[in-house]
Amino acid sequence: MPDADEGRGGLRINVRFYNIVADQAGRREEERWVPEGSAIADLMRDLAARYPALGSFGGLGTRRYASADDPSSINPFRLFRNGRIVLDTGELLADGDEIRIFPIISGG
Amino acid sequence: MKLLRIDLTRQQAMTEDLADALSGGRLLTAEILTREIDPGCDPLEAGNPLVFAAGALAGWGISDAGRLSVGAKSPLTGGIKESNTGGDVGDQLANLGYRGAIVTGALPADVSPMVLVIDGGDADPVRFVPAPDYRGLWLEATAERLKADFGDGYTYLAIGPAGEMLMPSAAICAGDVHGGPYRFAARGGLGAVMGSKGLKALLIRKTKSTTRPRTAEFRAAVTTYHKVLASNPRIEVLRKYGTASTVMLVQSLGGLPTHNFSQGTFAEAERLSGEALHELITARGGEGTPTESCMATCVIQCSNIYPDVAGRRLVAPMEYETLGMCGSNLGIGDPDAVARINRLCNELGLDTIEVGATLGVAAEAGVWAFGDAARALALVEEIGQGTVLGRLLGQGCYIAGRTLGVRRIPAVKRQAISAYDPRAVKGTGVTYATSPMGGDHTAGLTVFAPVDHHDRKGQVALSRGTQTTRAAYDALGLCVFLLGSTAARPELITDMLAAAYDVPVAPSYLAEMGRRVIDLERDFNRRAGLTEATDRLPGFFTTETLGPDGGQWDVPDEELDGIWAG
Repeated sequence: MPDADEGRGGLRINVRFYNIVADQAGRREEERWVPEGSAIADLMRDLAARYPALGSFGGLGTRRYASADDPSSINPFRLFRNGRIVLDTGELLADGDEIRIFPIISGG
Repeated sequence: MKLLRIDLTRQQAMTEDLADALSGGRLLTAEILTREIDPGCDPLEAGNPLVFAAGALAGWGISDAGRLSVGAKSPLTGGIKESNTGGDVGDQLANLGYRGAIVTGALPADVSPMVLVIDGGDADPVRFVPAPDYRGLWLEATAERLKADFGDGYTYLAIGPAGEMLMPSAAICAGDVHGGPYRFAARGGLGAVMGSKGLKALLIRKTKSTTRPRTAEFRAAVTTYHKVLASNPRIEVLRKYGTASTVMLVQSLGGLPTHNFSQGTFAEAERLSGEALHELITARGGEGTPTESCMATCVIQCSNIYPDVAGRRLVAPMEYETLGMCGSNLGIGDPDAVARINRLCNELGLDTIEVGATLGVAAEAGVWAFGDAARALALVEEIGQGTVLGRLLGQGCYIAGRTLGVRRIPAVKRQAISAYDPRAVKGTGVTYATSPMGGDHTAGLTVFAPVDHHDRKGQVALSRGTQTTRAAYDALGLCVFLLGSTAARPELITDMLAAAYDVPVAPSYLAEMGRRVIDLERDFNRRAGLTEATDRLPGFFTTETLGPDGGQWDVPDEELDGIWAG
């Protein structure tokens, strides 16, 4: 994916990582620039390239959710875009979006 | 396996054979209660038994299979109640040869309180020991006294002053694997039922199982099960960050109860998060640990010991629900302050969810100010002292709220809901409304499903599925945190059952078992007078919006009423 980093244009995305995702990325928060027209899946591929350790989750959120009854299709992450859960990583990003990345967790 | 029947009125005990070898946990409590008691009985009178039940896989070194169910008619909801706990009791009860213990009647006042000592055996399996010096003891003191009086060879169930004062917020404590009073069957006021019987504690003799199956088939099924658990990445999250890892997830959904459910995000949520707690626990060291088991053979180890600044144990454990209900819901962002409230609730034997909701309505009424942690702690102290205000607060959030004139009371069937605002996690809202348990997330939590939790579509089906599954796990004494590994592979559980009991058990058995539990419980509730009118959320969730998206509860009543059709 062409690098739109360093403010050369494109969309500014605030990415926040949580618990073991933050452990694998080595950080809690990062500002990323992506080209106009990028989808969430494009951002996730970009992050997978920057943080190979996140690949240990088996595909960095690039898969779409299918049925909850079909475990093979389950995204290994829970993604939020501006407070709404992401169900389709083909969703297009907008400038200033906040993306939060959680691992799949249970408990509570 | 046997059932132990303990008649407190006559101070006698006897054993009987278990009719269904697979029945245990929440299925056994439902069967006993629906069959043997009048659902219209007063829950604090002798006609309401206490049923303690382990699951069919307890005592055999199987990870997360030792939970103990406690069942009775609830003094909080007026309906059937099953509340389960980790700790050592489920496994040890099974090791002694009992699937369950049914405690009926009540001790005469002149010999109360008593400690029951379950040693097992054919002659005199239970000793009835007068314990007048135990009256009013907090739970850590109770545990120490039990050890001093009876030795190291027992685990135990006990109540604190809240149960002795018959408060519907009272919990039953179960000894943990180290003998500490830190595990609780908390929901629904079962501590009050135990207190109404004049019982301070039950001791269960610790022994090794003599019934563990030895077949190659059983060993293979257990090995497969353990391998799958160990390889699941979700376990790493719980092991390192505990259930507190849920805080920022629910904050992100806009569903973290804040200031008595008036908001869904809390400005200080990060301070209560799993990440913050892990950092703090690790930095303080000493007796603190972010990784702790509640059952002896648990590989998940989601629990923790939260230390004070000097590294001494402050509370164990500190879990998501308490961080929500006694933290964000009360406007308290300091984890040490939440820990102190948690510890005091544990000592008094109180349900932290009910207390958190009650303090929330009390703040709304102006009894104290949100965020004033010292005052919140002082109010919990008053509950323990049994002052008039304390006794009012000990009644739970519904009675306290109505008495104080509060309109925003977060309760269903008079039991406080927990730390998921139903406007942001609608499937869990359906569970709160329709579960026979009342406002109870453990009966069917949906927040981890890959769905849009803000959209009402599909939430009834989602809740029905998770309620059914969780009822089966409760019936088998299984920890629901297994579901991350086993939900999609029910054969992991049924293969162990089939091998252990030498009967065919299809993977579909779990769904059938879960549904049977729920059908029995709904029947009890109907006969107890709980109608469809009680399967509703409080009105403010419909009339008040939440967050910038204006979330409202909008699942139609007809859909709620149809959840169990077919």
